[in-house]
Amino acid sequence: MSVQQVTNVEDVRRLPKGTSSVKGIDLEDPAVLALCDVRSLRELDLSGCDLVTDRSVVKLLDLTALEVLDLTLCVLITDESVEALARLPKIRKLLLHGCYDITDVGLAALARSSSLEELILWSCEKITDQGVASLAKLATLRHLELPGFAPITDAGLLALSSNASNLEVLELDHLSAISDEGILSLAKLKSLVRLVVQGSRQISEAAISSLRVALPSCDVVFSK
Amino acid sequence: MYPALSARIPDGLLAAMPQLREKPHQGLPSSNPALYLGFNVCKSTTVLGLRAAEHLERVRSRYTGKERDTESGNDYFEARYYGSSMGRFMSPDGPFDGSDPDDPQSWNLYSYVQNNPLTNTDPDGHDCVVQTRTGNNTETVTSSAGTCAGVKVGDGQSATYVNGTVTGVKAGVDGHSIDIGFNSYDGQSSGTQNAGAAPIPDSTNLAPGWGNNQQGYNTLGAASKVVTAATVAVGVTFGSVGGAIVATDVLAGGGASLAGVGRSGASVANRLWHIFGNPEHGLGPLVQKFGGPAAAYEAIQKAAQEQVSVVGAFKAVWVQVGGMNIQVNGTVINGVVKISTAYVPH
Repeated sequence: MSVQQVTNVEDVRRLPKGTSSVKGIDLEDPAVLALCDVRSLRELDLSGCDLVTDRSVVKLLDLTALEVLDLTLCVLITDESVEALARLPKIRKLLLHGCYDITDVGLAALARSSSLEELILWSCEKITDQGVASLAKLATLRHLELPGFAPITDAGLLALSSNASNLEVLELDHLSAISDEGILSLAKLKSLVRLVVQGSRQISEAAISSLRVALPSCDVVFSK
Repeated sequence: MYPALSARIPDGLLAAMPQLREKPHQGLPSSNPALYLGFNVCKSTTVLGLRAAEHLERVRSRYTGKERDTESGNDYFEARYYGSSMGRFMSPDGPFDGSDPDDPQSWNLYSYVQNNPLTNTDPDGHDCVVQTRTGNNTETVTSSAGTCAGVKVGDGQSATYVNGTVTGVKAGVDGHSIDIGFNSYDGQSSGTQNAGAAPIPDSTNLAPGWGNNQQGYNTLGAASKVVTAATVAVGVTFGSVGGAIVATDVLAGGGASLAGVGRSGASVANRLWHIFGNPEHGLGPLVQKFGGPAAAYEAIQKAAQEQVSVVGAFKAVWVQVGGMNIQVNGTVINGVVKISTAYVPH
């Protein structure tokens, strides 16, 4: 799948018919709105387009074929966008890295998605256990990277371990409130193939060792 | 801040007062742009030829607790001297410091807290710059003497402590933020500090100054009494179309402009707030070292650009900034590093 780069509205209008993958460079709302007419899009990379707002992102709902959407560092979007994107019928992968204003409200909406498999939430520090619990109900979710420095505790991990049975990849980075109890609960996630635990001071080597025994097919990466 | 938070120095007023537009501290026209940034404005320590060691010769003044120079009898305000017997500073503020178009008293660049020492003080000769978002593409910049301690900012406002006396304001190189020109704490040098942009208010109907919303202003009040008492009113208009803002335009409150600045300002402010607003990131010392979050961010950005060698998203990459080892997350787009967060690992 060839990726077409666009930098403005004119570029968007010149896209070949049937374009399925686009990378936007420093796009603003008008160009994103224009992209909403490219109904063949399956992958859209708007990473670094830090001037786009909810005004255009909510309209991406028109892209019913969209499967992958990268909104990394689209710092102005809010839950309003996420609520709309949750209704994309084919969305598989959503990158919200650096979308600082995403909260549990947006995640509650995402939990209603019928297709989302991979979710990246780095630096979305407003997310709490409640948001994690919402995501845990997302039966299609296989890959989850939670934000560092967010107020996520063992309660969030317990919710994941109880409900996210299809989770294969989980990254926990700089979550100071999680402890061995939360980590050990992840032993229930038999589908896990990769677990990353970094920068969480309360986690002991002993707990990680126990988890490795409980999940022998899981690659557990651990560092304090 | 005065009721008209959008109070920029009107072009009409400036036209009638060319000495203010051109070179307010001398009343002479000049074509030297540097003057508008105030880098050539004399400061008292330079004028008097004093150095830090000579502070020993001073004794404590009973007025605002400032030291008094035993030789001249003047109070030392760190950035300049205050002649207590005359009620005047011994050197002028920079262009438009303390000036309000509606308050002729503020035009006197030698006056101390607008001749009202009972209610206003200038604690150290340094300044706090308050930015107020007044529209999608505009903000007003005011400056008060002293630190930002006690300066309360409302919705759509930000306060930045400047480690010196403000001498001018211009648009930052990115066109989305402001650069503050200042003369240093010791009066021996000058510099600029980027202060980002005023945030977009959460409640535009109530934010002070937003769209000249007088009702909103009355509801929330001014930024603080301190700022109300002694303000510079330098309007920064990020207008509709046009080229880069230059210092003259800004000091004139004029309309040079860049499109889309409102969202850009919000974008920058959001990023700064996220990175530096969480104490858990441990970046307080870095902010202190660089004099503010905007400058600290610039330093991190620069270091990351030099040190991050990955393509695409990156996480927990070590960079050294200002003598500190920190980790950054972000992404690289077309060779440009964009940081999402930074922190000092536990």
